Amino acid sequence: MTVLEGGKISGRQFMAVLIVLRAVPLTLVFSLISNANHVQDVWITVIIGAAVTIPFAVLVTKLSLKFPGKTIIEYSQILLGPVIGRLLGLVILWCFLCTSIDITRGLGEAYVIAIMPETPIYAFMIMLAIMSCYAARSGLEVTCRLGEDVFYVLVFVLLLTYMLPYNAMRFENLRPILAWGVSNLVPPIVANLGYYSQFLVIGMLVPYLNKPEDATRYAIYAVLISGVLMALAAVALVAVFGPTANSWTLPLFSLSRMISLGDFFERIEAAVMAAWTLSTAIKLSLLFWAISLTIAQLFNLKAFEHLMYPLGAITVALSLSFFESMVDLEDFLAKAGAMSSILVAGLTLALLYAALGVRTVIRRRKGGSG
Amino acid sequence: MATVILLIAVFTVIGLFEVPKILKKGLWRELLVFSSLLILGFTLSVLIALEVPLPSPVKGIRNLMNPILRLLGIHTHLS
Amino acid sequence: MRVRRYMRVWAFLAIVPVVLSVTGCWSRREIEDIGFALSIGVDHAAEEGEIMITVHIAKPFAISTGVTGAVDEKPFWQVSSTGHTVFEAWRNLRQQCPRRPLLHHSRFIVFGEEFARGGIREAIDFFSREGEVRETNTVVVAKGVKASEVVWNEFELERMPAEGALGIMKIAVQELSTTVMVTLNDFLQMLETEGHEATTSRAELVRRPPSEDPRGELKRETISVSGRETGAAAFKGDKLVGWLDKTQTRGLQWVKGKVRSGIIVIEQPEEENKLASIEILRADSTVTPKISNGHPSILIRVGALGNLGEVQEYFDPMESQETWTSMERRMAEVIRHEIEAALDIAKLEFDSDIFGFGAEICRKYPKEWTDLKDKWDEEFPKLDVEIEVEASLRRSGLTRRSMRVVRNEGG
Repeated sequence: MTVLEGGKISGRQFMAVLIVLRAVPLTLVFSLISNANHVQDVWITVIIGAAVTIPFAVLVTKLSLKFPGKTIIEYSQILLGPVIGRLLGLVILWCFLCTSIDITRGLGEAYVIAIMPETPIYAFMIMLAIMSCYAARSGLEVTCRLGEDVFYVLVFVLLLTYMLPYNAMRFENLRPILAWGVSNLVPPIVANLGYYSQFLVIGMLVPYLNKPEDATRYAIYAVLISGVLMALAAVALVAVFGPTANSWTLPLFSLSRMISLGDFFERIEAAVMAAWTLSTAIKLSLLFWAISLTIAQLFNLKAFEHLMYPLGAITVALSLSFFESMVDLEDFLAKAGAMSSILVAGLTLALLYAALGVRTVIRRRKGGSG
Repeated sequence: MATVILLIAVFTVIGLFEVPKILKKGLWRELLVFSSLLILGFTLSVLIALEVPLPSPVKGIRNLMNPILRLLGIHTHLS
Repeated sequence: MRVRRYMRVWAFLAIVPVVLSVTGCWSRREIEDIGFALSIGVDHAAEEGEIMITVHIAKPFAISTGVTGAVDEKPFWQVSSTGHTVFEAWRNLRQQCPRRPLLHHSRFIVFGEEFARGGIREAIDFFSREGEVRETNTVVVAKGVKASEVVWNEFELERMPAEGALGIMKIAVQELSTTVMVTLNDFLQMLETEGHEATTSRAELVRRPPSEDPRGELKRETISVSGRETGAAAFKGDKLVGWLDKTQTRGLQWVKGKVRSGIIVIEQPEEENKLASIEILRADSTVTPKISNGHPSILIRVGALGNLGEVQEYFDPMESQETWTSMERRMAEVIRHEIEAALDIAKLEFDSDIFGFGAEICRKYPKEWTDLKDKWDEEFPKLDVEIEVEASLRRSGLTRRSMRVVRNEGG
C-alpha cells in the first residue's frame, strides 16, 4: 500500500495546530461565556474542562501510539473489523465535516456582524474555503508549519487584547465566586468539552509526527495552553464587562473595541479579525486534510489531495443551508452540537478501548493455549 | 440564473484543474470519488443558489440531544 | 521545494484578508460620501411616543481648511431627526443629511432630563448593538434642558463641540473630581449589576449674553451658549431620580475611590474667617460590608493625601505641630461631610444605591444577598454606614512659611 501522506510534523507544530483548533471558537463566539448565567465562574469551568480533556487527549494519543503509522480510521478497522470500523470512520468523518461547516459559517457570520453587514456572507466563506483548500492541498507539513506561525500570531494578538483594555478593568467584578451553585457551571462546561472533543483529530495526526513518542506530552501542553488562553479571556472579559460579559455576540471582538490608549492606539480590532481569519483558515485546512485522508482510507484510495476543492465547495454549500441564523448557529454550537460531539468522541474512544481490551484478552488466551 | 452559470464555471474550473492530474496517474477509483464529491457539491450549490429549501440535520441533532441536555439543566428554545 | 511552497501559501493567506478588508467588496465607503457624527443626543420628540435624536456632524471641508487661517464657517452641523425608536430616528437622519452619517467617531451619548426621567431602557439597546458605536462613548444627562441643546454646545478653545466637552470632562475628572466620567460600558454594567445604581455626568448650559459683534453670525468672537460638565445624575433602575451637586458628587467619588485631585477648602486653624486650600494629591477607599444578625452595615475607609496650597493668613508650620495636625483634622472633616452629603441625598431623597453597597454585600455575602436584594429598597435608607477618614498633609509648596504682611495699623 502506498503512503498517502508523506509529510512529517514536529511535536511543537502538532501542539500549535491543536491550540489553533481550540482557539477558533474562542476568538469568535466564545460560547463558554455566552452560555454562563453567572460569568464570574467561567474561568473555573475552563479549568474543569481542561482537567477532563487531558485524560481524553492522553487516551487518544496512547491508542494511536499502539498502532504506529496508522490513523484512527485505519486502526478502528483493525480493531472493529472492516464493516463496523468503516461505520465508525464515517461517524468521525461526519464530525470533522460538521466542525468545518460550523467554523466556516461562524467566520462568515463574524465578518458580516462585525464590519461588513451589507456583504453577502458567502463571499467570506468562499474566500476562506479557497484559502484553506489551497493550504491543505500543499500537504500536512505546510499546513502545520503555517499553523505554528499562526499560533504565535494568535497568542500575541490574544494577550494584547487581554491586557490593553486595562483601564476599563475592575477585578472586583470577578467576585463572588461559586455563589450560585454547581448547576450553573454545567452549560459552559458542556460547551467547552464540545469544542475540546474536536481533539479527536489527534488520532489523524499522531502517525505523522517525526517523534511519535512526544505526542502525549505535546497533547497535554496543547490542552494546558489553550486552557490558559481561555481562562485569561474569561477573566479579562468579566473584568471589563462585568455582568454584561455574556451579552456579546463576539465577546473578544467587543473586548478589543474597548482598547483606547490615548487617542493614537485605537481600533485594534483589525488585528483581532486577522487572528480570526488566519486561525480559522488553518483549522479549516487541517480539517479538510483530515476529511480527505479519512475518505481516502475508507475507500482505499491512493491519493487524496484532489479531494480538497470539492470538499471546500460542499462545506460552503452546507454551511449556508445548515443554519438559519446566527442565533441558530450559536445555540447549536454551545448545546446540541457540543453534546453530540462529546457523545461521539467519548463513545468512539470507549468502543475502541473496549475492542482493544477484547483483542488483548483473546490474544493472551490464544498465546496461553498455543 | 447568472449564479448558476457562475457555479457551472467554477466547478468546471475545479474539474479541469484536478481531473488531468488524476488521469495522468491513472487513478480511476480516485476519479470516481472525486467526481461524485464534485457533483454533490455542485448539486448542493445549485439548489442553494435557486433557493430550494434543504433539510438541515441540525434540527434532528437538536431533537436527539435535547432530552440529554434537559437532564443537565440546559434548555434550548429552538426546535 | 517545501519551503517555497510554504512561503507561497503564507503569502496567499496574508493577501486574501488584506484584499478583503481594503477593497471592502460590497460595503465600500468613500470618505467623500460620509459624515461623522461626534455626539448623539436622545430626547422625546414632539409627537407622542416618538424619539428625537440630535447629532452634530463634523464638516470635513471646514476642518481641513481651518488648520492655519481663520475660517468663517462653523466646522460642524447640528441636525435632529425623529422616529419611533432610536435606530429609526438615526436612519431617518438620512432624509436631511447629504452624506451618510456614521457613528464610528462619536464621543458622547447625551440624554435629555425629561427623557432620562421617563427611563432610558428603550433607548440604550441600540448603542450596544450597533457596531458603529464604541462602548467607550461617554454617557451624559443634560440638566433642565433637552439633549438637543447640549449636544452642540460650543467651547471657545475647541472647534468641535464634542471635543470641547470631552476636554472639559477629562480635566474635571482629573483635577476637580466633581463630576463622574461614565462610559457606555460602565453605564450598562451599573444598570445590570444588582445593588449598584447608575450615575452619569451632568451637563449644564452656560448662557452668555449674545455677541454684538457687527460682523455677524459667521464672524462671532464669543460663543453665546456653552456647556459645563459638573456634578452627577443619579439613576434608579433606568430612571433618572435626581442630581448630585459638586460636593455630593465628590462625596460619591471619595467612596468609590475615584478622587484624583481637587481643592478642599478648610477654615484656617487659629484664625477667624480665614480659609486655607488643600490640594488633593491622591486618595483611596475601601468599602467593607458586614452582616450581623441579618443586619447589613457598611464601613467606608477613605485615605487622602494633600498638599497645603494656600492660606489666607500668616502660617508657619514649624511654629506649631498642632496647627498642621488640626489642618489634617479639618481636611478629614470636610471629606466626611462630603461623603455624608452624598449618602444623605442618596438614602433619603433618591433611595438609590449609587455607591454599589449592595454589590459589595453581594460579593462578600452572596447567600445573604439573595434574601436582601428584594428588600434592598427598604434596607438601603436604613443602612448603617460608618465613615473613617484618614487625611494627611504632605508638603506646603514652595513656601515654608507665608510671606508676612506688615500692617501699619495706627496709620
